[in-house]
Amino acid sequence: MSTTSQKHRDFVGEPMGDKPVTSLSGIGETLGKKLEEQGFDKAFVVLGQFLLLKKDTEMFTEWLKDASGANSRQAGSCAQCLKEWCDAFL
Amino acid sequence: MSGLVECAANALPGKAESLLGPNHVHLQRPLQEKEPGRTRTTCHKLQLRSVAPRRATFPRLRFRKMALSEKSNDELSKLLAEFGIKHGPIVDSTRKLYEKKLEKAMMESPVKPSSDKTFYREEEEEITYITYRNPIRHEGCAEMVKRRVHDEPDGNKYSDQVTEAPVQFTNRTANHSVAHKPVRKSGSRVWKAIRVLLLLAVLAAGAYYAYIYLLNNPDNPFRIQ
Repeated sequence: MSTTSQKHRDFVGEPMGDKPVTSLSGIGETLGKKLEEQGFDKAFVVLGQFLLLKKDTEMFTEWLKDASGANSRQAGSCAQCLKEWCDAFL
Repeated sequence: MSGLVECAANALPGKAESLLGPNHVHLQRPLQEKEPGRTRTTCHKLQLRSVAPRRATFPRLRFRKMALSEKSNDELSKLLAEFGIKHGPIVDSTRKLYEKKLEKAMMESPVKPSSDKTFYREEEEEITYITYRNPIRHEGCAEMVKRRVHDEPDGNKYSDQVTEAPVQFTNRTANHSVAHKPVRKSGSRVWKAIRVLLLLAVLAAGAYYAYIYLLNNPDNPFRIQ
């Protein structure tokens, strides 16, 4: 828990509802815009992709790096964030 | 250069000379006599040298890339399973990722293990051939087999051969009828079958001569007729 950011804790702490994609841990303005261009305008859409990949963090990291140009750290952080959210709420 | 001239000559015999400028392309010619296929495109190829350099990908990999994108979702799914890649549903958003994974997997192990199958088949054929032969030998007496082996070197045991003669014939026919089947199954075992037939012929000849000899020798206590 100490290694996670505030953003991470905020996201994982409650149902995501209609939160924007930039609320995901690791996704900032630039990456957020790129994702929105591809149609991933809300956090739950990215969650959908995560679920399609069977909640496999490695696969999701690969996909995110390819789709948004995220680096390993950012993609890994987002994956971990989503995984923990799923563990809590899914 | 010579190629260009040839091309021009083939296209329009009359106007060949006017086009012999060193770097002239055929585009300036009128389109009247458009011969299907040949001339213009081939001349272009001869003329143009500055083709954009292609990336040095392996031709096999490039073919696979093209093939992968043409495959259906089901086929991709099967391929992924073959390479042992766990995957979710193949949808628009996930397809590209799985294609990449397949490419990586293909590069690491390019050849599918399909060549083993033929090898296996040959082994199967051998096995079936052997099983056909064995029961026949057991059909006659088990002793018969041993005695047959002894027949060839030992010409002295007439008593044995007398009882064997009639029985051998029947066994031989049985052998023949079944021995044909494995030959037909595997055409490559022809020589083995011929060897078997030769052996049987030799044995039959030996039995026949023994029979004749015994007929001429009425000393034998056993009945021969």
